[in-house]
Amino acid sequence: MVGSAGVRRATRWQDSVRLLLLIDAAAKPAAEGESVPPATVGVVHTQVRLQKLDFWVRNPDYLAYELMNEYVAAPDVPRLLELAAEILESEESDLRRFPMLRYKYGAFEELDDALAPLVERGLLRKTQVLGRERVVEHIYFLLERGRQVAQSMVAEAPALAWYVERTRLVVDLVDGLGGTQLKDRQYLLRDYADTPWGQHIGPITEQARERLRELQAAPGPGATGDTDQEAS
Amino acid sequence: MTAPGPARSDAKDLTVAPSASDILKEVAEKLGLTPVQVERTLAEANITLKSPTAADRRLRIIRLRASGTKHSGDDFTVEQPFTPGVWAIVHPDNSAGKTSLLEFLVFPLRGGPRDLPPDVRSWLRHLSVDIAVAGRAIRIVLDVDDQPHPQLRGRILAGESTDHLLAADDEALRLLATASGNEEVSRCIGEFFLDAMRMEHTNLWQVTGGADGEGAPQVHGWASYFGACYLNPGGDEILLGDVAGGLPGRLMELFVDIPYSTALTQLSVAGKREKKTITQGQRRAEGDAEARRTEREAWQTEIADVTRQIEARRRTAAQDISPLLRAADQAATELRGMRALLEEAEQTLTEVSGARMRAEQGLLDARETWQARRVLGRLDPVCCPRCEEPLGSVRRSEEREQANCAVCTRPLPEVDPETAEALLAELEQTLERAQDAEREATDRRLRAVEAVQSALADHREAAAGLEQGLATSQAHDRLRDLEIRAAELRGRLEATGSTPPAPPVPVSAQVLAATEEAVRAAVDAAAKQLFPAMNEAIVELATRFGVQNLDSVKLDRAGKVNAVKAGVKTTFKRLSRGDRLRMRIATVIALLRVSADRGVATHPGLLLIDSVAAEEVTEVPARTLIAELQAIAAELPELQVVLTTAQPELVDALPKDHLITSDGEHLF
Repeated sequence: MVGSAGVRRATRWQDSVRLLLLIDAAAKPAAEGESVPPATVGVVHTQVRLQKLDFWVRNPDYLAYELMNEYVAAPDVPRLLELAAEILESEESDLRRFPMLRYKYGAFEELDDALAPLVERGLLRKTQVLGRERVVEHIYFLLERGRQVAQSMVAEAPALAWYVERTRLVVDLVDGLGGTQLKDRQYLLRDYADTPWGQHIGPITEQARERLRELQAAPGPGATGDTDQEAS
Repeated sequence: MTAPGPARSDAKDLTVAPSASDILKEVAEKLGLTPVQVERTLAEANITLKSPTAADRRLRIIRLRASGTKHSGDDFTVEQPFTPGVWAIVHPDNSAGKTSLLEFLVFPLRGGPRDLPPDVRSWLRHLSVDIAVAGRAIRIVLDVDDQPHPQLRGRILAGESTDHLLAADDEALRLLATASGNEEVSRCIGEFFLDAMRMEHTNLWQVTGGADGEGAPQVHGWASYFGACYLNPGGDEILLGDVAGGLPGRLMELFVDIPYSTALTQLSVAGKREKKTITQGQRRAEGDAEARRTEREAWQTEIADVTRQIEARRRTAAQDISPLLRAADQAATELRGMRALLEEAEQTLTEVSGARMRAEQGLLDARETWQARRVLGRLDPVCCPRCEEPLGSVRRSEEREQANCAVCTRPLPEVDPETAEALLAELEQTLERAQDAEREATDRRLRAVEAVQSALADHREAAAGLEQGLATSQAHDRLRDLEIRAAELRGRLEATGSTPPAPPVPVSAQVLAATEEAVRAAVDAAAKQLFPAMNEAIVELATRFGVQNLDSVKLDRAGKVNAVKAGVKTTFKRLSRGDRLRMRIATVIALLRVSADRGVATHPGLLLIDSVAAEEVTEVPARTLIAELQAIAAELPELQVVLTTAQPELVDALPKDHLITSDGEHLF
């Protein structure tokens, strides 16, 4: 729903489902000897990582831009450019955008309210590792019931099928990268980095579309655009 | 002055000639001037018109005396008296001095020798000739002073009478003139004879003369006239005198004394000089006119070109540009209006699109929320989301039985699928309206874009039209320049339009021409009477002298005899050498006879002939010539002939005292 300041905000239910599907896509099996609650099927480490994955789900133009970065770094995977084109040539960037705040470590939004329904219903458990003065790391445990719900989502709620696809794409894109590295990736975009703390990160749709046209018009892949040193 | 010649004629012809005042009056009337003005104008050209009066031009030799020293050192002395009649200098030897003796006469009379051998001349120390000229007793004395170098000195002396002259020494005579040096002596003698015989220098117009090659008068003096007395050798091709051209005829006229003949010659020469001046002036004027004509042609060409340009520019410049300005303004206004409409349409479209997007988002959010709620809502709470501790059975049963939340115990909100469907339907309708509005706004924007493009095209067209119109209006300035240039050229053409009139013939030239015409008429009238008589006399005399088969001659004023021999026209040059001499003698004697018949002034009556009959192959014709001369001398008591011959037999009929000869090797 559209907030008073004109910034669109998702409903609690949308947030909960989106995060469930994102955690389901991103969860990895618990490490051997790791202490996990009963019925745990997968673990997601760090809140920062979860926040950054969520940023790309909620901002399809940034995702498209990152896909093009990947395409420039790996020109032999034309699917990357196709995916970027599918996003940018539709109205997706406007229709699916839920702006996030710029915070100290990047895009951020309080997750507790959105995760509460999942915890209450026995789909998710979370814990935190404490340091001397503050929380060092948040850990999210996907429970068996949570995975069942996530897997039945396409059939039960077709309107939410888009999130199933998109969370998988985002996780696939950044698979194997840590949250801090993700943040650095997002900082590569000037509009994001220039956004003052505590303000909503604005769209880069036109910028991304312009770059798409350049890449499509280029004689061969990898001719222009920024290269991601960390991805190479 | 009276004409002292023998009054054998009634002098009728003399009165026929108009007087000088008659001629002046005639010319004055013709030109609208007064006779005095005419006379003054002629005087400015050094021409004086005198009524004809007969001048005494008789010249007779009375005595010749010569002395000197030969190359051999021997002195010689000649003293020979002369009387009228035929005299012969005779000696069979070629180098006996016949020609030299004749030249002793020629030297003082002509002012210089003609054929005197240089060696004989160097011997001469003293020449003295007593003559009767125009009735006056005159002695001409030439002395050659040896020291410091040979120098000719001449004196002209006058005696009371012939007898006085013969008796008196030089000192007893009246000295008229003296001169030193060849040229001065020659000039002095010439002036004396011309003055004594009332003759003038003759100017003959030489066509190619002058520094500019366009003609100039040539002066002929006494020496030239003397050619009428001292006949040319038989081989010469000129009738009389030693100058070709007009001189022979002039000599004849002079000695026949045709009235006004001198004036006519002077007028003719002056007229030609005037004509030359006028011709040169005209040529300059023609040159100027030609230059101006070329200039005018260039102007004509330019004015035609300028006129064409003016016409072309007038046609295009007729267009008024104010409608173009209005059209361009209107098009600009229209374009601005259309652009404002487009901006508005785009603004509207942006707003409507935003609204539509928000409707889409709203529907999407509602649908997702509803389905998420349906999926998650079905799940019963199993623990507290805060503490994650399991819920007790009491809370579960309360929830089932009293619809109180098992977690927070507040009443559970109704989750009514029908309500949700109704809400979604409403959002769908909102979206549909937003989509309609967006389509409409899109169409409106499209129409606005088209309108802007159309207005832009109209504006460009109007601007181009205006630009062209403005370019044409700049042509106004050029048109004005062209019109000014055309006016300037027309002015120039008008100012130079009429070719300048030829410079007026000056009055002096008119007077000269008219006077020449009048005088020529008088001369022609006199010549018309004179020449037939001359021709008749020449034919008779020439035949008597031995010219065979001479049918006729027709003497003209150029001195040509135009002989017809045996029916064939024969030029003087084609005559035999002997016939040429006979014709010369016949001409001179005819002059004498005709003049004497008319009682006018005449040939001096002295005839010097060197080597007469030298060309004759046989003796008979030569004898005939001399015999006839002797006979004529008897008829004409004024005639005195001195001839030379190497053939004594030719002159044996002459009186012995008229033979100048010697038994020795030399005549002197």
